[in-house]
Amino acid sequence: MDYKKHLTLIIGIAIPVLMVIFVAASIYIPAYFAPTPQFSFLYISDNTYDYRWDYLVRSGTITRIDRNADVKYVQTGDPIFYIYDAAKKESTQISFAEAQKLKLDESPISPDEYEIVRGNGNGGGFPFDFNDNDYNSFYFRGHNTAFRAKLKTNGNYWNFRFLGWILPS
Amino acid sequence: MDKHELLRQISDLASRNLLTEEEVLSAVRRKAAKGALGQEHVKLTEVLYYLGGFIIILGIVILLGQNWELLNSFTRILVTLGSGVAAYIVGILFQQKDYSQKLTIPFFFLSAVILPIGLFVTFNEAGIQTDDAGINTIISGILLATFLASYFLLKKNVFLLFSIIFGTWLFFAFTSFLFGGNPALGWRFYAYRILATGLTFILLGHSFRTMKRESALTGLLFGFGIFGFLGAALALGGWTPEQSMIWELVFPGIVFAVIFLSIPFKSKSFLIIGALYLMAYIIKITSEYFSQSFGWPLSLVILGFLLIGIGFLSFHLNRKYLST
Repeated sequence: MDYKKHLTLIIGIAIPVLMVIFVAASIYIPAYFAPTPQFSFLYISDNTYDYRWDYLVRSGTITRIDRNADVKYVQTGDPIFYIYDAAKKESTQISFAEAQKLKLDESPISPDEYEIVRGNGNGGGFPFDFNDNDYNSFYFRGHNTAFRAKLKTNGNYWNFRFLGWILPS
Repeated sequence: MDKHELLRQISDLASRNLLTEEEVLSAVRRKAAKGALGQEHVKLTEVLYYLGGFIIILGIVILLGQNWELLNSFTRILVTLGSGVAAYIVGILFQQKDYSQKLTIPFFFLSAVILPIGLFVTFNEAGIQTDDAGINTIISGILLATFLASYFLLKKNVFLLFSIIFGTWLFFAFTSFLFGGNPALGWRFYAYRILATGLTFILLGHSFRTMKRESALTGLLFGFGIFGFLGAALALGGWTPEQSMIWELVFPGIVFAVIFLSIPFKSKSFLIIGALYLMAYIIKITSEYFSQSFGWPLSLVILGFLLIGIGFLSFHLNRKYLST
């Protein structure tokens, strides 16, 4: 084969291949060098609008605020609280009383510069929009990379509310 | 009698005033007119072949739509995948005889349209969810391998065309499968893929120009390539306040390069699509940055003059360099 004669053909075919390699490198190389997320966080796995109480972090502690909703239309008790343990990579259920004992940082960015975000769509569009969007998955995003966090949300992104990063007490 | 002998005799007759220039020209024109008429006849026949193919596809789709619930899995696969395979085999059989050569392309075309439907139906009947990127990667991979092998064996442009289509599908499906959903990549990932695909089409079109058979695809590849490439480059500029200054500044350079490349490439696609994207860019930039400062009416006046300027430039380039 005369490579010089078919140089544009070779470059044309190589572009998509090189793009796959380049994107893979841009994802996996930063992930290799990025620090592992250190901070666990507290979240609610439920739709809080269904409950009597709203929950806010004030002065580093979670507090309960009455939403003054008609008691006939709201659920009694508290929604489910979880701690996502960054080291063990798992969620553990806790009660509101236990959650109140935690020292929390409510800012969206953790002290080690990660934030919790939802997955994207599959990155497609017409006519290449495949129905496997990742909206219901959650990730630690930071340091030019992202790590998946398996949360207890029953597969629905609206069953998630971030409350705060757990600081060492 | 060879050509030189004939020309010598014409020259001889003309020198003895037995043959005039008008008589020679009218004889040449009569032949050319006859040829054009014959070509039109062939083209019309081909159009009828393709029209027939389209009606067959329509018939299969309606047949399936009306009776889908009545058909069992085997019949569903037979009607779709079976029809695609049958069309492909008929194409191969028609290729064997000279008089049926023209019929091969519409049947290969038919198989290229029906086979993907057939594969989707087969996977679906096997209980596999067919709308995710992984399954799309497998289906497009099977089709690409089939049509690329057919192209190398049978040397037909229709296989090359569908190899490019299925290859593009594979590229998008495979990259979605590998990286889709990752929040480190946003919507720009899709734009970059279109940019890469457009560039690939342009380069393929350029390399096909010098090939005897494949050059028929150059215009199509240039058209879609430029359209995708410039569209993605314009989209990557974004919109204030989340715009990308680099892409907004680089875009005019790219679009002017495309317009002027129309001259060495002798391509009207480069000129027309380039000029349209330049107009789109000017409208975007004006409404994004100047509609507030100049006021919308004044912006429209300036915009109008600029669009007239681009129109005139395109017309001038077309008339001077591209019109035959």
